[in-house]
Amino acid sequence: MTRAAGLDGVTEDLSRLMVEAFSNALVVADTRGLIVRVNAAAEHLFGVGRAELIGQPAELFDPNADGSMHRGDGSQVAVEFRNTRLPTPGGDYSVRELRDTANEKTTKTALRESELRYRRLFESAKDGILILDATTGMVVDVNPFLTSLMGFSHAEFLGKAVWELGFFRDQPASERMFSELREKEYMRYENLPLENRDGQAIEVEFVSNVYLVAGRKVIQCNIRDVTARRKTEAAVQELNTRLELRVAERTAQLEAANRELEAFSYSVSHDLRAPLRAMDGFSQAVLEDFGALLPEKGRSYLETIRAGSQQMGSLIDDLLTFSRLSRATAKREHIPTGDLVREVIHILAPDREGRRIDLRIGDLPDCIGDTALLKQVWVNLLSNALKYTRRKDLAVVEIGCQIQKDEPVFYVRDNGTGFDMRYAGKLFGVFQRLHRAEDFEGTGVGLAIVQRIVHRHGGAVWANATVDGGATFCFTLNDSLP
Amino acid sequence: MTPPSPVADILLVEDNPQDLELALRALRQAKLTKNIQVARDGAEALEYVFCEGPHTARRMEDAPRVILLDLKLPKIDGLEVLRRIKGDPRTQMIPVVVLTSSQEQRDVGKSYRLGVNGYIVKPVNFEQFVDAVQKLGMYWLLLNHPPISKG
Repeated sequence: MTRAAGLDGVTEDLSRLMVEAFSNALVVADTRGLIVRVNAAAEHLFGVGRAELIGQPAELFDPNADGSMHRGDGSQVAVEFRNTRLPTPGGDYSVRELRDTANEKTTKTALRESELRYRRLFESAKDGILILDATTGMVVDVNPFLTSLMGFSHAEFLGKAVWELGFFRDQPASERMFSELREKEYMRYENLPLENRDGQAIEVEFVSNVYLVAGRKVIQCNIRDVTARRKTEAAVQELNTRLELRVAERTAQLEAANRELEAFSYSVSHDLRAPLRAMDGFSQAVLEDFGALLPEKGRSYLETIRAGSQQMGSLIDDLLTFSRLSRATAKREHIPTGDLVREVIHILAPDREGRRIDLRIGDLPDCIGDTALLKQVWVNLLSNALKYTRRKDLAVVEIGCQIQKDEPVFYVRDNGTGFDMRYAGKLFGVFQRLHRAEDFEGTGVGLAIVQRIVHRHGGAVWANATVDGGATFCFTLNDSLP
Repeated sequence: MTPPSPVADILLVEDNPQDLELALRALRQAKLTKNIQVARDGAEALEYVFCEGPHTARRMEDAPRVILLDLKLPKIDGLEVLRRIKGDPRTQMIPVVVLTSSQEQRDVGKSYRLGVNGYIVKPVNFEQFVDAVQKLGMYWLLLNHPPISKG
């Protein structure tokens, strides 16, 4: 042997490596047909390690008539099989080569199925899809949605450059678009105006990308019909505009009504009082100038006219105060309640004159609200208390505050005439009175004013009383004013 | 030739004849009726104050001691009359007292911003009305020292 043994060694190693790396199973058997060598793929195919395979008959790997072989665990596997004789000086060796075709079939099937799935997706998509050759701009494929949307057949699309398709309204622009797309490889139009075969305008959202397929650049365009959406958007927009107009209209009407109301109360304030003053004034003038000429009855009638006009004057004043309350905005001020109450008591000094009154003032926490309005509340409640205790030898008026459910409840309690709780519902209504005018004068607006002010402060007002057993008026104020 | 307008102590601007009569009655009872000039609307009031129309012969210097001004007036309303009087250097020193039925805060505020010297709400009750008018007359004619002394 003149050949270098070293090289033989290398060849041996190389062939072993190649055999191992081979993806087909290789099984080498000696002259007796017993396995002397297998590769990794053979181990894998048979499902048994080579230590066990060596020395076994190679026929184990021979396929049946149907082309499948039994694996080590008894399961069958479809194979492609080739048996090659390998002559050696000591007799013929055999080399079996096997390929697992089942696996291959599965891959092919999977690929076919996948292709079918995507094809179906493409065919049934509710968006138009257009596939172009990026180099030539020719249409490669188009899905049915786009053909029916545009009114051109599949055949009419194919083999045309995209800008030759009739539906782009502006052909030079679409050609420019195409070259821009080729450059940027991505393009998106929110609102591209197209025209279908019948000349109907269709608005679409147009997105296109460039990607590689087997080394060739392809452009995929997704075209979504947004005509309906645009119409809906336009309708919504129009509705909004109309709504805004209507709101503006109503606001204007409301403002006009408010102005009218203001003008009305202004007029009431100004014009209604002048004739009352004349009635009262001239009745008095008659009494002064001609009183001596009148019989007693005549003078009494004139006094009645005067009393009536004065009562109406008070009614008008109270009503105006009441209506002003709904227009004025309540301020948020920190109010030392005790000081406010003492000030009110001072104001009411004339009502207290010549009377025995036990005035008890308890602890009064500060509050938050509109000083002028809350002053009115205390004036009305306290003057009521003074009025309805007038017939008592000793009037007792108690002013205080109790905490109920974490909330301060202010109250004014008196030992006066009280009222029948059956009529409590009428108490805070405008012009509602629970006493006859000849017993206690009044307009029936005072408590209505109290209620309105308290409500404007987010509070509540209520009363408890018994006939001849005195009355208690309570109110709360919500600290968090609107 | 028209005779020169009398030099008035009080310019009473009032359009309502009943209110006017009651005011004059009250002033008469207080013996203050001697020199009263009456204007029945805003235009008449301004003519008198600025010596125009029938009052061209009057001298600006002979200003009334006080102007009692109603707000709701025909032609030119009271607030406008007030604005013109207080806006003119020749007349701005004349005391002006609003005498009105209006208790509207809006009117009160506007009047004071325009520089009114007093604001009286006419009471419905005649005694109170008389009392108010008499006190007004007394105060401005007898008690108050006028801005311009008459020669």
